[in-house]
Amino acid sequence: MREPVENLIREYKNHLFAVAFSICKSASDADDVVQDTFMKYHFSKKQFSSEEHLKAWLLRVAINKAKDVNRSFWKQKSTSIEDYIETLELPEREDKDILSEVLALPEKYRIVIHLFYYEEYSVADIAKLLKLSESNVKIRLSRGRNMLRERLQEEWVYE
Amino acid sequence: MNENEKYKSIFDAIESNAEITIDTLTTRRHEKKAGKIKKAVCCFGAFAVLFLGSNVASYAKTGEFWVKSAFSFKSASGAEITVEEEQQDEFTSISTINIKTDGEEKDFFEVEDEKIYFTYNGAREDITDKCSEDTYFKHEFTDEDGLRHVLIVGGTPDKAGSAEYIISKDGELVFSDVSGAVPLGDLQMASQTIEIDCDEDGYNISTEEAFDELKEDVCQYEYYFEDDSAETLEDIMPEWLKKAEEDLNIIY
Repeated sequence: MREPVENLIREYKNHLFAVAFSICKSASDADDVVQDTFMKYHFSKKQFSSEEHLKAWLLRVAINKAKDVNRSFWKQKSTSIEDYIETLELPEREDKDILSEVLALPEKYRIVIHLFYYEEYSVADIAKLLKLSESNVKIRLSRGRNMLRERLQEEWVYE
Repeated sequence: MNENEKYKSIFDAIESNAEITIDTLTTRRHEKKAGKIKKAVCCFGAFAVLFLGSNVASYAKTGEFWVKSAFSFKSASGAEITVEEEQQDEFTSISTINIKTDGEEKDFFEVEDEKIYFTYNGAREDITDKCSEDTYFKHEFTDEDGLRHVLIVGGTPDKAGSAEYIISKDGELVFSDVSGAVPLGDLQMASQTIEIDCDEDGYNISTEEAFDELKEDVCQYEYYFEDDSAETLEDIMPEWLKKAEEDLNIIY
């Protein structure tokens, strides 16, 4: 199956932006990643077995592109992350601290944390998407959550 | 509110302001193909740096873990490459590769009047007869740090290309740059991830042999192409380059 790219942009633009932003910590870089991801989809002939398969593919491409931006010598630094967070209208006062701490996590923990909490993927789905073992995913998730708990304490309810 | 709900509510507030339409995607694609955005892809995507296990760096054993110190070297094209490794926690280390150029790519061959010339270090040697679709010209030298640089030029005058390999005293590949040989317009992205991560039982990396074994287990090397027609570098490498890598016994 294929979906028109306009439908995917409407449906997944902010999903891809969120995961790209969580990795490259820059709104402008994240925008580039999102555009490149949709560009890759639009000009490819790839077929997908389901909507879930398509979404997982988009996320995987966006994650890899965002990781490459981080490793690129030409990584943009147009706005500091702190300045960007200040511009956001977040629901609660402490949310800016939480976001800062999430973005301060090591990249490999941030990615699984984001896929688990925001995309609500299971450990098995995350393992498949990132081509990791399930035990590896569990370890990264556990370490990421522990780090957040230690740093945020009451602000981060741990269940 | 539990942590799932809290995380979602925060990231729901983060939205892209970019206007994305088919027209903007088409324009962006043309810009990339014209080479305007190629530099970031080129310099990261086409470099493959294998620094784990290299004897160029000095190893320091702290407790049970090998921690490599930073080292740097220069490629023939003038790029200065610095590799730094940082032990993040008990089981994880992060390696960072920094590539610095002065903005000018200095190639070591040129094509003029249907002839291929080797031009490294002020030379101008006609190597046309040595190059074809499946043969190549090779030049090598050893630098002051004992690193062996191998410069390869191959192909025909209308489709010539180059590659550089840097090999340690012990014969290990430290660095490779095939950006002069691989068609950049098709290479969207390349990523090499070498991660040291452990399951709950952990890896015993108290010896260098175990370190190398671990590297084999977790090394990932992925390429993505616009039309998904190729999945690996080998699919788009010209024949002369494949032969050169075979002759040099290059293993990534």
